[in-house]
Parts: sequence; C-alpha cells; structure tokens
Amino acid sequence: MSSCPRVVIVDDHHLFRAGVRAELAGAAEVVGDAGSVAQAVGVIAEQRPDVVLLDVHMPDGGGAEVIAQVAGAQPQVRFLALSVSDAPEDVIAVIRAGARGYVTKTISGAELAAAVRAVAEGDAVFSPRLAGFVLDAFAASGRWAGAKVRAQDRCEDAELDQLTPREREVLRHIARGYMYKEVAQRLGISVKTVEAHVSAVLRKLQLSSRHELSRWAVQRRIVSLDAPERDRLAGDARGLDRPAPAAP
Amino acid sequence: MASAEAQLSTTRAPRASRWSALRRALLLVRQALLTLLAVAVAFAILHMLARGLHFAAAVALVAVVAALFGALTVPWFLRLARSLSFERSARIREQERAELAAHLHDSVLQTLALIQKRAGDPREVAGLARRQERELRSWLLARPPRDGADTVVSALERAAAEVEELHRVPIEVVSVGDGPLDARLEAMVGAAREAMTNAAKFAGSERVDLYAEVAGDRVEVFVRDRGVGFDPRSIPPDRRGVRDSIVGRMERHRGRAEVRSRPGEGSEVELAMELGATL
Repeated sequence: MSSCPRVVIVDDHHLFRAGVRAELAGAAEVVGDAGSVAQAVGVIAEQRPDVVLLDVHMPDGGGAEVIAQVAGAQPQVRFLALSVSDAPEDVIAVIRAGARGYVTKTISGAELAAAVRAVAEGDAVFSPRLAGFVLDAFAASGRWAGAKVRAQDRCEDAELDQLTPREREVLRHIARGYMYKEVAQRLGISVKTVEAHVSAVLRKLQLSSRHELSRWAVQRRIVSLDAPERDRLAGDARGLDRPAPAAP
Repeated sequence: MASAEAQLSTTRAPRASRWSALRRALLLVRQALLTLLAVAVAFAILHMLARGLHFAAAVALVAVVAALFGALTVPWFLRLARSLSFERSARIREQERAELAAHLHDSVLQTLALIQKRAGDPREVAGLARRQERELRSWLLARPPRDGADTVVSALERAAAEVEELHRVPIEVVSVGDGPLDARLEAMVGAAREAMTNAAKFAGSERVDLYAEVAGDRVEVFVRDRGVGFDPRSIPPDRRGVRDSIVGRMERHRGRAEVRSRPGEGSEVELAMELGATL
C-alpha cells in the first residue's frame, strides 16, 4: 500500500465534498465521492478505498446505513465519521455501527489529513467532542448499571459497560483538547499505549450490551423535550428495570 | 407571466369544483341506495309478519341485511376517517414548514446577507458564520433558549459564546453531565469566563477548548489553549485576571484553581468545586 491513503467521500452536499477533496489534496488520494447511501455502496465496492469519510446524516439513511451495507462484504474498508451534527446519540450510533472515529466538519485541513492517515493505519480518532459523548454515554450506563439490573446481565456486561480508570483519564484528556502525544506525555505513558486505550474504548463502545447504550440515547433525547414529555419517557425508560412507582 | 398564472388558476378551479360535484353526486346516490334498502327490508319484514311467517326467518333476514348494510357503509366511514386524519397531518406539516421557513428567514438568510456585505473581512465573516452555526445548532437540537432557567453547562456555553464574539477566537465547549446553577457555580462560571478571555486575548491560539464535567457533587472545568504560554510564577502582580478573577474567586467560593503553563506550550486552567462542601 502506498503512503497516500485512498479515500472516498460520502456526503449529500456537493460543495462540501468538493471542499474536502481540495483540503485533502496531497495528503490523500480521493478516488471517488457519493451523495447518497446507494451511490456510496456502489463507489466503495468499485474503488475499494482504504478510508471512507462518512456523513452522519443523509437523506436515505446516513452513515450507519452505509457501514451496515458495506462492512460485511469489505471488512478492510475503514470509516471515519465527519459531520456537523452534534446529536450525541446519532454520532454514537455511527461509531457503534463500526466507524473508527468522529471529527466535526469545522476541523482544519491538516487535522483532517492526519485523522485520515490515522484511521487508514487502523487507529481510532477521537475528537474532543466524541470523547465527551463517550464519557457521557459510559457515565450514564454506569449509573444504570448501578440500578437494579438482573445479576446475570451484570456479570456479562460489567466489563464492557464500564471504562477502566485509565481509559477514563485518557478520554478526559482528549476531551480537554490534548492530542495523543500530549496525553502520553502528561500521563507518562507511550503514544502506543494511549492508542491502545482509545481502541479499547472503541471496542467496548461497539460491543457493549445494546440496552444500556440505547437507554442512554433515550435519556439524551428526553433532555431536549419539554418537561411533561420528559417525565413520561423517563418513566418508560426506568420502567425497564425498576418497579413502577405507585399511583398518587 | 401574470397572465399565465391567471390562466392556470382559471383552468384549475373549475376542474376542482367539477370533481367535488361528482363526489357529492356519488354520495347522494349511495345515500339513496341505502335508504331504499332500509325501506325494502322494513317492508319485507312487515310483509312476512303479516303473512304469519316464522319469526326466526325475519330475524335471519334482518341479520343478513344488517351485514350487507355494514359492508356498504364501513369502508365509507373508514375512508372518511382516513381523509380527515390525512388532512390534519397535511395541515400540521404545512404549519411546520411555515415555521421552519420563518426561522431560516430570520436567522440563516439574514446572516448570509451580512456575510455577502462583509465579504472583505475574513475575521468578521468567520465570526458571523460561527454565531449562526451555534444558533442554528441549538435550535436543531431543540434546546431551551439560552436565557431560560440556567444550568452549569448552559451558563458555560453562553460565557464561551460571549468571549468568542468579543475576541473572535473559536471556543469549543465539550461537556459531560450537567446540573442546576447556584451562586457558587456562578462564580465558577465567572472564573472560567476569565480563563477563556485570557486564552483568547493573550495566547494567540487558533482555538480554545473548554471541557466541563458535572459528576455527582463535583464540578470540574478545564480551559485549554495551544498558544504562546507563560510562566505562571512570573505573572506580574498588577495582572488581576489570573490572581483575583480566577484563583481568588474560586478560593473565595471554596473551590480550587490551578494554572498550568510553560512558555511555548500553551496553557490550561483547571477549576474544581465540591458541591457538598458547606461551611
């Protein structure tokens, strides 16, 4: 493989695809782009790129759908989510589908090129924002794990549902705006170890029991609703592992 | 152009009224048929009873007719209900569309117009774009308006937005957890604001990162830049920013502040407060 990763850009905004193409010039070889899920599946099958830059939201399904349709047939293709969408549950959904990282569209050209290279080499790319989402998701699932979940479930999921103190510390540093190299320096570990921690977090995120994280997503959605609706939904979500509150 | 439109509307209107007239006629026919059926049945039953026929036969006939009647009318009722709910959802969709259009007009289109006017000033344009992005994003995520009941995170986000606009350096806010704001936390937000202002004003950094974590009774805020950095021991005594507005303010409210920096390596201000700690 050449040192220049082959990239396909998937985004429903033509202007944005053109912009990314220009930014990556020299750092990566853009071998194709697509504006819809169907197009993307075709282009990826044809070009067999190293990295697919993937919009989280698209009219006919979005990034998670592309990964679902491609990953089985082409496990060597790696995905990096790139989006203006900040809804945490959507971003986490794409990561859980199999993306190796998430960066926001406001990222600079140089940073994007570095992220593409890292993903091409099999590393995980966590922007501060993604690190924040992940910490939030695991904090929430930890809270749920503390609730009355059946003992059997807990044994199976305990390790996947929680981050180790070291993983948390690494993620917190990334959320604070430190790059991997700086995190390594501050924690007195090697960059490789930082990468290993981040990959482990990614794996946990992808394998963790579905219900814990989907409950977190429900919680997140409720936060943006008005109070009565929130209470109703919160009651529903809680009802899964807690006895229903007595009627007033 | 105007005449073409007029023509269009004149050809369309009669066609629409013709359709509805046809529909009304069909309904009348159906009604007439149903009435006829009812009369015929009543007549048949009376006739049978008068001729002393079996009562059971009459009941059976009524049942058959009722079933027939049902078969004729039920689809009609269903269709009516469906068209009513379709109309309602169409109306709701139309309302939503109008609201969206109004919002985009007031926000995005105005900003785009401003950007065209100020095209010569890249800093100004970037600032306008970012402000619009922030506003649109919070609208899309349907967050309550920023000036409503305050939480720690919303107060920090607002402070970041203000500093960003004043000093034109993008500030990325990442947060985990949230909680209600009280007087001590307001002081903490004030200290964070000062830290952001310092970073934006003096560091020469391309962007500033703010990370806030509210976990149980503990609130932590980190403000980081990748700018020129400085030696924290050599802050001149007259620079009140760090000493009073950050460290002093946190200590007065039983919190803690730490400033980490080295020349050339950017800086980070760490603020921490235990909410349970009362004196």
